Amino acid sequence: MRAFAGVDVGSLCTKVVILRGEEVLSWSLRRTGADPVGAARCCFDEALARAGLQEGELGGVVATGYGRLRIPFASRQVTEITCHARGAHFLFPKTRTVIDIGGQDAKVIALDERGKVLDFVMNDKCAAGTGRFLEVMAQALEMEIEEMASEAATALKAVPISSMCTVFAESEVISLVAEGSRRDEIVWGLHRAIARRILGMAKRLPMKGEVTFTGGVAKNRGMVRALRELLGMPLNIPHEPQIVGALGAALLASSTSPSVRAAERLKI
Amino acid sequence: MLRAGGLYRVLRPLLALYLLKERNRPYRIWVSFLCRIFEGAYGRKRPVVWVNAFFPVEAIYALGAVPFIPEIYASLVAYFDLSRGPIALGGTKLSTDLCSFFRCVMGLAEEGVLPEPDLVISSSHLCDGANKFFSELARFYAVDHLFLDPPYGGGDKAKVYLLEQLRYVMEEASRRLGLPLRDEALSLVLHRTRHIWHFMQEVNRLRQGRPSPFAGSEGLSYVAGMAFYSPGSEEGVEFFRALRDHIAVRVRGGKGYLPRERFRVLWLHHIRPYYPNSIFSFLDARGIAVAFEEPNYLWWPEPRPEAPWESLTDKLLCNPWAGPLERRLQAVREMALSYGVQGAIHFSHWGCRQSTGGAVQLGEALKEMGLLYLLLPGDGADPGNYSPGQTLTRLQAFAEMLESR
Amino acid sequence: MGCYHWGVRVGWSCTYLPVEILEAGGLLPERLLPPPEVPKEDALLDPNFCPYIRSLLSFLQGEHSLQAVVLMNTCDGMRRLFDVVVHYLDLPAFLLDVPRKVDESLIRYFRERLQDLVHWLKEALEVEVGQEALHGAIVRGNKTRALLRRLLEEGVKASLILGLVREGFSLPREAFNDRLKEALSRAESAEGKVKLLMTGSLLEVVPLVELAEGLGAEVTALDLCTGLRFVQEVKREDDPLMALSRAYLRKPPCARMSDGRRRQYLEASMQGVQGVIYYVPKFCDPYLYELPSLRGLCEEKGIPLLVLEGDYTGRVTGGMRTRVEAFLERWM
Repeated sequence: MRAFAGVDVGSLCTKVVILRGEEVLSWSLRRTGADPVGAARCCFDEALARAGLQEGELGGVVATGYGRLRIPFASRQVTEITCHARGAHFLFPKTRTVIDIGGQDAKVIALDERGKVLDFVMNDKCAAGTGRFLEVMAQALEMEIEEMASEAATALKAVPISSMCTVFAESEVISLVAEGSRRDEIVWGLHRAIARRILGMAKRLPMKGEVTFTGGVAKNRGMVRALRELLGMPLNIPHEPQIVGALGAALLASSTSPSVRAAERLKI
Repeated sequence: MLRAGGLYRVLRPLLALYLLKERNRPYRIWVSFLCRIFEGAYGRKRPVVWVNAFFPVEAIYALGAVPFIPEIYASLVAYFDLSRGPIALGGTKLSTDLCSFFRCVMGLAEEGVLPEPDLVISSSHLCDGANKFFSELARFYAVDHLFLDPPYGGGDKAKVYLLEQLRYVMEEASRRLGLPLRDEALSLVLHRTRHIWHFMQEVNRLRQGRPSPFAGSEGLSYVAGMAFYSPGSEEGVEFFRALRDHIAVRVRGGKGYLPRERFRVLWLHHIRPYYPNSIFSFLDARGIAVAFEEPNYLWWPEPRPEAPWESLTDKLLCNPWAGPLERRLQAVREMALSYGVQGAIHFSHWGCRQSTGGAVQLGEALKEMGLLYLLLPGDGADPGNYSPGQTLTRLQAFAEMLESR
Repeated sequence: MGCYHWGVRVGWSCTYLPVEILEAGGLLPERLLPPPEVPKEDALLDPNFCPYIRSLLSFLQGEHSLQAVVLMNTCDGMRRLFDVVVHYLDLPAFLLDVPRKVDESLIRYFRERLQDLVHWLKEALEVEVGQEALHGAIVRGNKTRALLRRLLEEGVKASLILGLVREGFSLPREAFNDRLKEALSRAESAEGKVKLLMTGSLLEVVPLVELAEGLGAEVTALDLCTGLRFVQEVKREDDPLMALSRAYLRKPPCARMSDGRRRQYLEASMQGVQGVIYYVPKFCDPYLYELPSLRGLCEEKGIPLLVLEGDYTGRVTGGMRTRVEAFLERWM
């Protein structure tokens, strides 16, 4: 059986997954930096090395993410929306909603039982509700994001953050600190504010079935807690939430390969 | 130099010749029409009246004045990718929260490029910007501002008030400009508009054909432009007749505007990005035909030359984008059925709250009908507010949704 | 007097609504000034809507004690909010159309829309609004306006007056009138070195006004939605709805009104004023479109203008404080 690769070139990080059948052979992640093509190449080579394969042995490569159009070694390119749906569905087959929060954008995707996209809502214009919001606040509070996450995960109370806009929210946080509010309560309030934004987006989608949380921000325990509480539903968290897009891309590479399709037809 | 009326007089036949090979006949009429308008507006042999896009331009033709629609000028400026400068200049006065077409016009006014008005008349639909901004313009040029304020919703009572307003505004305009408002002129104008209306009806019917015979991107540019600007004029009649003929020929020959049409979609909102962009080339390449677009929906009833004021009042009151969303919903549902589309793209123009505020509700109504729906945020006039990557991601995801069905 | 439906609270969004109509029906009008909050279903409206409308949507989606709301066709955002309320929320709502200019014909038009409101109150809430009740409500309303006029005439501090007005938005009329009488007896006059006009569509204004007063300024003119545009008497007419229509439409106009009266009013407000503070929330079209005009007027008169952009909370941030301080420094 052939192996296939998915390459997800995000604005902050590039991820590659190598897949054979239903088994992930290897994956790799590195910062995209200023050279998406170079980063993709390095990441790809790394993943190949870890899988013990040569590029020629692959059955196909699908690229996704913001840099997907520029990857010369990819045979196809598909949007990260379709790939995240596919990848999350593969990991948790009862998934019907994917919440993906990255460094620069956030999306909520509704999918059907086959993992195909029915509808999606995307925010890539406004920093509020994305990883960027956390970065801005981390700076304002002079904390590391991990620190904020653990404080948010254990805080007992939240200070409500009422500003709608990142810039105003930053100002609000500074005022709150000056007024003597507890830092962990502020931080928890910030995480809840993001969750509220995401849910505000998500509510217009069917929201049936299971919800899977992907993207770098899914590693943030404070965000997981906030989403779980505001959603009032359990959340599936992949072991490696950042590579779900690349996984989906690899799955798409394998499912559309003619030989795979032929094999499937024979089975029927 | 742009401001010399004579320039457009010379330009008109030159462009007609140049475009003979390049473009279809309706397009050439559009260009010729614009030349004549600019010649009149800059030449100043007759009074120039600025109006907004939804003001019934017929009334201005009846008056014998030259109508100038600044929003359309702004979209032309954007089309030639020259809008960045004026938008930045306009942005020093108007907040970037506001519509880029208006910021563009503000900048163009500051640059002194626009043909000065003798009077400004506007109508408060469809948006807050319309009357407020036009009153700013009137102040800028130190001329009077008259405006219509159509009642929300409709009904017979509303009609009485609006009719009164319309008559009052036009009589005032007539008085201030020293131009008589003759019944024969009104009647002639409405006769022409009625011809136009019939041709529009035919065009819209012909466009229901499969494969789609006429590109939505063109519908959104010069066809919508003529729909706003030409009712009541001779060129308007010529244009829509030529458009009807052009499309009829294509339909008879079974010719679609795409080499291979795989899907059909509606484009929602009156505008599209006019500056060079990759939206339509992407859709074309994926075989997704924009079969019809919102601005060309024939929402107004057949004009009645025997009752011109009532007729124009009816037109104003029927506007589906004024009043409650229910009207727009109805119009869009009808379009979806008539054009047999699998999906719709709502272009959410930055700063346009009247339209984007209803986009989600509209989408739900269409999804209930089994359509796929895409919200496409963007900017109609400001290329600086256009993010090709983000736009393409959404369009492509939408294409993938269509393809996976 | 009719029976009072205490407990039947009806929310309203804009001071062009003659609240006397609600009062005459025995209802308790409550001005919609919800806490700032991102709505639970934010996607129902576009995120580029002003924070007031978004907070209002959030409030109406949540737990509240309103039986109905009267919204006004004041701007595109409110128009779309009304569509959302009607379609998605289980809350009786009425949209009152307000003309954008004022003349006799439109006063008649507005009167008919007020009549529609009366009909709707009957249908949706089974409430009768009779002629006598309306006359009575008008008389009580005039009392309020007279008291507010006196507060202004006595030169009472703007922040106090605004605070009172704010209270009044959720008090029954009689209670509010008592409150005003009490305030008159203990009123603190304004005293400041710099006379300011405060304008804009900011709704929670007291913190900003207090800031300016604390820095030695006196806000002598208030062109604010939660301020004092309307202190004139409603003159009695046989048809009370006509009286209300005339008085409310003819009151000093806000920026949403597009005819020449608005500019005249702004100019008149600037008499004797040394500086202007203009505070507008993001995405507020009527006020943002007016800014060039306001700037022009200030330049003409040689009056310095401070432009502040904010959100709905009215909170005074560090940045705002700095700007106001710097602005006032030229006179200190």
